[in-house]
Amino acid sequence: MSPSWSREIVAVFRKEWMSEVRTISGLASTALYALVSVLILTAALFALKPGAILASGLLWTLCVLAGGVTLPRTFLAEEELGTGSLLRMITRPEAAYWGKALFNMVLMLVLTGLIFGLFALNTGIKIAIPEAFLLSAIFGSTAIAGTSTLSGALAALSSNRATVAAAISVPLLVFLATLGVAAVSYSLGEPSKTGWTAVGGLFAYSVLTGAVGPFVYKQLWRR
Amino acid sequence: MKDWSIKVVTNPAFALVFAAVTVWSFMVPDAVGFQQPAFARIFFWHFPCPILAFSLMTVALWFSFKALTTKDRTWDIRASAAMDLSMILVILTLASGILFSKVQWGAWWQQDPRQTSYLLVFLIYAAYLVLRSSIADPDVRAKYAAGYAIAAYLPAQFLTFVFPRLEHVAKQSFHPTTSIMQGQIKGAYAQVIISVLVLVTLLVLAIYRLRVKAGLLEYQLELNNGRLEISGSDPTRPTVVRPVPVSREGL
Repeated sequence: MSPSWSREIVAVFRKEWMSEVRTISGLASTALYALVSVLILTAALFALKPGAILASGLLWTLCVLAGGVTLPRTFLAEEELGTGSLLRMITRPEAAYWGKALFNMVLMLVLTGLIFGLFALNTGIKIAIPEAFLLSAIFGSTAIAGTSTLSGALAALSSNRATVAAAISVPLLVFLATLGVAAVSYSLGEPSKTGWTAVGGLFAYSVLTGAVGPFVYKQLWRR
Repeated sequence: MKDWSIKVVTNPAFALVFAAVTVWSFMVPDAVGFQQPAFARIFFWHFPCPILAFSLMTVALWFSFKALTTKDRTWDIRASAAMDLSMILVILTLASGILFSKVQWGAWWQQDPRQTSYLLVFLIYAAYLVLRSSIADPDVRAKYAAGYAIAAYLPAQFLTFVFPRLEHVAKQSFHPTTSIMQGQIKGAYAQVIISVLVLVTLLVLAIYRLRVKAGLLEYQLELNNGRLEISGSDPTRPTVVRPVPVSREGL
């Protein structure tokens, strides 16, 4: 990667970061979402200790909904604020995509860490295979971030952007949830021969979105 | 000149063959291992639908790629026709599956992982339509719909083919996944399935070609319409007289 590429990607990432730091709306709403959703779940479960499959299903439901609704905002905000054209003039499409995807990955990692951590603390679930749990959380977050970033880019020019972004990202993310549930339930002690395959699937999909996303976005880039 | 696939399905002989195969499907011996073996015949019509839906989505993937890289709207027309038809086949798969579920398993919706995963496939298609309908500019719509079709391909195929075979899913599902590969469907039953598959494929192909033709004609009309609008200032072109809406007021 030439230095200008990395500079452009870092510049877009910093731009996202600076606007986040200025308002803290994304981080605050992310933290609040994680706290409230986990508290509601634990209150609903009360004294019931969820099994591996139920716990992983609940965790992934929270992650998918959070990612599908909050992450596409990075592209939608550009069109709403009218800064999309400026971004087109000063960066290459791949750099813009990667910068925003990186920012979304960081946000999603924070969100997943909060959700997984709070849920584990509140319900007292035992993690049987910590490395599988950790890798599922990391690869799951990157895959959700990649898919949501692409969905945001696809919905940016539509009418009712936010609704359309959620409408197109959630069906794509539910597919990830099926892999994620298999991987996390394995890490929580559910016997399975395909547990590591599911972790590998999450990794493969995050690589795939990283490769396909910039290609698709480059084609959408020019007006 | 008519397209060969359209020629075939508009031929009366095609309708006769279709009717004959339908009658034949009721005459083959009942399949074993079903609650109501006679009703298991819906499988003849259920089976071709997901195969053709998958094939059309693959076709749509290629056309979407072409639409995205060439910016030629005609590829989008082909991709959109394939996606629309594929979605209809997904609905038919779901509908025939729901009927089968009621008759054989006792409930319209069993929360079977296979049923649920295919419903998600339907939602992926529905999102494609939502995206298309939310963008007014046809050129922008073509690009963004193509991008979504490419992004949605892998999740849809995963939910159709891989998810039902995951270990923890396969052991909870009633839906058979290996009947054909294990040779449980053979003899006259297999012959009917292949015949129905061929006939439905021809029918779908003809509908697809018609849909594409209609789309291309609409596009041509849109292009020509633009030319007609400006032809008044060009003396080399014949003048075009257009009907104009006239208000009744003042008459």
